[in-house]
Amino acid sequence: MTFNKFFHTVDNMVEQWKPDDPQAGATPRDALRIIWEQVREGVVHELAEKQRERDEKTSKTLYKLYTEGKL
Amino acid sequence: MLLPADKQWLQEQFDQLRQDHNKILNRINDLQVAVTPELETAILKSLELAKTLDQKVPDTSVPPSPHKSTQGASTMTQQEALDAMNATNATLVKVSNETDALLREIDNLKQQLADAGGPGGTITPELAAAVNAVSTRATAIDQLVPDVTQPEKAGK
Repeated sequence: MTFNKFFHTVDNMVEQWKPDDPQAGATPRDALRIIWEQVREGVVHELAEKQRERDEKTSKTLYKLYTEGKL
Repeated sequence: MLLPADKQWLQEQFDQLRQDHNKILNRINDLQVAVTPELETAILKSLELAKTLDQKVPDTSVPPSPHKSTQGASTMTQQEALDAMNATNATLVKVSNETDALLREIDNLKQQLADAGGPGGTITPELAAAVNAVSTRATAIDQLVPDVTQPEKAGK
């Protein structure tokens, strides 16, 4: 995704963002920080998932080699 | 509506995250095995040794055929039985000695892995798992063939 497209999406999210506590006086900049943190967490989660998939694949490969007597 | 300063901040964060993401993704997908020739030889040697031990130690998960064993017992003389027992014991001693050698070899290998996997090291999880798999089997064989009386010592 290009940055401009991403920015457009985030800008819309900030526009529609409603704070949990309206009295807290949150600004669009606060909203941006919160939304960005969620994006970042999503990316970290995606990477962790990829790592887990890779570990699982490795385990299966090793188990296959073991059962075939190659290990 | 976000201000230009916010846009600038977001772009910096975006670029940094994309850079980190690609770096980590490449690392996940492209873990390279950087094994020295000595380490590779040691691993192959251990695997080979473990394979020969497997061939010498019968698979206890498969029960022996009752028909075959009954037949063998009825045709075997006492001397033949004694010879067979001595031969089996000699094999077990050999296996036991080789298992000890394998366990020592694995200890060396683990040390080499630990050294190679230190700061800046590039030992993959696969390689470490392979050594652990050999180690587990060697330990299992060691438990299967514990302390066997050495025929030479017994004879003296």
